This record gives sequence, C-alpha cells and structure tokens, in this order.
Amino acid sequence: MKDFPRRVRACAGLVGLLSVLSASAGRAEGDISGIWWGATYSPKILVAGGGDPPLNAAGKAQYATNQAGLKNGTIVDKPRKVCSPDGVPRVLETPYPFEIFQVPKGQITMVHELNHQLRVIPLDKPLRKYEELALFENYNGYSVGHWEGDTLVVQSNGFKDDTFLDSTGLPHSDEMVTTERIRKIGNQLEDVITIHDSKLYARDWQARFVYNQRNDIRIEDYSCNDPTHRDISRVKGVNEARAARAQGRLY
Amino acid sequence: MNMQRNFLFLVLLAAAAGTFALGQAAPVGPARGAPQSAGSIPDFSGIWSHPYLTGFEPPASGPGPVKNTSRRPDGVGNFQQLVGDYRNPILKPQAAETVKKHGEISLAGVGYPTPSNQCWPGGVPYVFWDFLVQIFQTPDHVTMLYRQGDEVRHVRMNQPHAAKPTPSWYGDSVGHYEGDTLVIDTVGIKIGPFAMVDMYGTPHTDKLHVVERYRLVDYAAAKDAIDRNAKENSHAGAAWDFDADYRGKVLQLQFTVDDEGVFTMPWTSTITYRPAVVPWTELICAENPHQYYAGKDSPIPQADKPDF
Repeated sequence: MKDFPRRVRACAGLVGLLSVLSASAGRAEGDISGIWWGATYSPKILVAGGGDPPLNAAGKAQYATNQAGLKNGTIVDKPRKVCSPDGVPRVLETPYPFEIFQVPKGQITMVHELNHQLRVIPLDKPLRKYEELALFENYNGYSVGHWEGDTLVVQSNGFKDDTFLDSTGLPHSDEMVTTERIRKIGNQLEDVITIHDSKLYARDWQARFVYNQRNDIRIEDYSCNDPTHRDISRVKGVNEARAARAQGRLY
Repeated sequence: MNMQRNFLFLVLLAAAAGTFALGQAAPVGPARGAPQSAGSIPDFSGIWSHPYLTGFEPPASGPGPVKNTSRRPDGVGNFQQLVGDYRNPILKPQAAETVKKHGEISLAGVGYPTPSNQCWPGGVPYVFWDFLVQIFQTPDHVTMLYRQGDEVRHVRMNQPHAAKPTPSWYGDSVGHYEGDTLVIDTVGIKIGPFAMVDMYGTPHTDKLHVVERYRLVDYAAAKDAIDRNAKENSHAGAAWDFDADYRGKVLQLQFTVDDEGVFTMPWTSTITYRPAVVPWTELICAENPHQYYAGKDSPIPQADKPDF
C-alpha cells in the first residue's frame, strides 16, 4: 500500500513524458507549404550524377516495347491523352505548378494543376506491404511520410505498372518503391527521389527536382481535353520537348 | 489489484493521448494548422463524408431540388432508375422537357450519360453528389477536393468576381467568412457536353449562379436534415462511410441555385456531411471507360494532342 503513491507518480511521469514527446514530434517539421513551380522541364528523367537510368535486361526490353508502342500509337500515353495521373516520379517532372498543404495535422497533401492530380501523404504511418496493395494499385501509389528535422521523407509503393517514369516511356514494375527527401532551401523546394525497382533496374538510382516558390499565382482548373491551358512556354525545356514530340524525336 | 488497475488505466490514457496526436480525421473546435490567420475562422479540415445518391437533401421548406419519382418499396428514391420530377415548379418549360426526356431514357431501362459516369468535371452544384470532400483553408484561398476523379475547386477569398469570367469547369468562385460560416459565390460555370446541375439531367445556362454556405452544426440541430436525407437518398454503402453513432458536430452545406435561363425561382438544398472513418483513396474514372451493356467506350475527356 505504501508503494502506491510512488507507482502512481511514476506512471504520471510516464504519461507526461509521452505527451511531451508526441507534442514535440508534431512541432519538429519544416514548412514546405505553398505553391511551387519548376523552372525547367525535361521529358527524359535526368539521373543524379549523370548517365542513363540503370535498366537491367528486362527493363531494357520493356523500355524498347514501350517506345515502339508509343511511336506507332499502339500504346497510349494516358496522362496526356485521357487525363489520368502521371504516376511517380513523372508527376515530379510537371511543367505546371502545384500546391502543398500542411494542414490538417497528420497529413501532407499535394494538389497538382496538371490533370488536377493529388498526392495524399499521411504522416507517421507504416509503409504498407506490396501484397496488401497488389489488388488496389494506384497511379500515384500509396505514400506515407515522416519528418526528419526539416526534411519530409516520403515512401511510396503500390503503383500501377502502366505509368511511365518519364515522357519517353521509361518503365517500372508494380514492385517499385520510391523514397523522396523533400526540403525547402531558401525560396526553393528540393525533392530528391530514390527509385528502387529490382525487377527492371540493376540498382537504386536517384533524380533531383527543384521548384521555385510561387505564392504569387493560383492553381487553375486543368482538364487535359481543354484546348488551352496556362502558358508554360517559359519553363525551360518545354518548347524543345514540344518540338521533339512534334518531330517524332521523343521516342 | 487497485494498483494494477490504476497502472493499466494510466497506460491506456497515455496510449490514447499518443494516438490522438496523430492523423485524427475528425475536426472539431477552433482553428488549427500552420498558416491560418488568428481568431474565429471555422476549421473545416478533415475528410467529410456524405455517401448518398443522388445526393441533394430536400430543404425544410421552400423550393428545392428535382426529386426522383422512381421510388424503392421503402419509399427512398431509387438511384438505379433516375426519373426526375419534371413537374417541380422550379423548372421552366424547356428545362422540364429536358428532365422528362432523361426520365424516359431511364424508364426504357437504359442509363444516360452524366458528368460523373462519363468522367467529365461536374461543376457546381453537380459535384456535391460526391461521397467525400476535403477542404483546405489558407488565408487567401480555399481549395476543395472531391474524391471521384481528384476533382479540385479553387476559391479566391475576399475578392470580387472577375468582370467577365472566362467559363471554366468549376467557375469563378469567390469566398468570405461571415462569422462561423464560409460563404462561396460561383458564376462562370462552363457548359460541358453533359452539363447538368443534378443527376436528373436538369440543364443549366451560362447564367448559373450558386451560393454555398458551410457551417459546423451540432448534430441535434442537423438531425432534421439528416432524417430528410435518409428518406430521400440511398445510402451508397460502407466504403466511404461515417460512424453512424457519431453525435459530434457535422459540416452542413446549404446551397442556393439560380439560373434565369432554366429556373423560375431560386431553390435551395443541403448536404450534411459527417466525419469520414475511411482514408482518402484514389479513384480515377478514366481507368475504365468501357460501357459493357453498350459494347463501346464512353466519350471521356480526351486531348486532341499531348500538351507537352
């Protein structure tokens, strides 16, 4: 009986400690909210450190199939044709702006102007298993995130395998897992993505995207079938990409 | 025995406190979250659920939306056979004729195209049918997400309408707060190939004007609307659901529609949302446009050529 007050005090201390820990876990995060717009665009994903994406033999074969089909029209580039989501990381290559919301607590939401596609990222949840997601795969996968200091780390899996990694038809399997490290550097947002897909790639590889803060603009409606959209011709690389596509040099 | 029970109670309390801090979907109480301005702006964050077809709730009184004359044995509207009541006095004669024609298609045992079943943006008020909505409030704009097709609406806060808005899928929306109410005024809604304000084919013109009022309301105060909704609309199943025992605050949208091209008078309706108990999921309509009974693909939105 005389132990009782001591144990209660110990328990109260534990509760107090846990409360402080969970509250401070909420406070330790960066601010990546707002509207972002890349200043450059490349239809072919640029591998960090240079060189080509490290496709293995199966990957090379799939890439060749994709490119042949895109060239002769038997494969449809669905995001550009019927407004479906681009998938990850292709959506990171977007020449259109996007907005990041950090409210409500516990969730990061990215709203893209391009095809009004969404990325909803619950925080501090475990990455789900491939087997759990295999029957319900998403274009933009399933993401979970957590903060490491001011860097948001996002892991994603459960991707439908018929999206491309870029506009040249670069393939991926549905076992792909991506990890992004997203942080603000001055007035820019940096997203370094690691692609892990051992079915089609010989090793993990990375790409880096940088966006400018553009809270002076607003995200607009965009339906892929509309005859006109926001002018993106000043995003460096867009005019060249449009010319390459028109001249049949994209695939 | 008492010590063990107290210890267990305190551990459970700690665990509850820990999980409450993470990913709570049900918003109640004053404003939270990073860039909110201070003071009494209501907090509508979270995923809100209204999984009912065809969606619009009849108002307590006054002119209301077109209802389904096809009813189930239990008296609820039969969402599998959409036969809009073309005798609703809100409809001008030509609009009534359009609603009647849509109903005749249903009575013949066929479906007719709508924005939602053809994967087109619905505009307002059509999109209010959607089962899940999320509202993101930042100081100078509000963004609303609807689940099917990742539909997005952008609302400019505390600004006037553009002098001559270019018609767009969700129109030119401007908003402001009146105390605990978010008021959104929308004009300039584009007329798409399957344009309608509801699932009965009720048409609209370029004069369509929609005013929305969003407010958190005590369950008791919203109960009449919830009951009217249950008598009119079919509960569409568990995947987008709310907790039937939930008795906290609900999000009530009250909207008024006027369009002198098709309506004899303005009419009102409500959508009473409850907090969703399910996560947001990706639902892309264009994934499967095939019409199995007709043996062809739906005319979903398609780009003539790739944008870039």
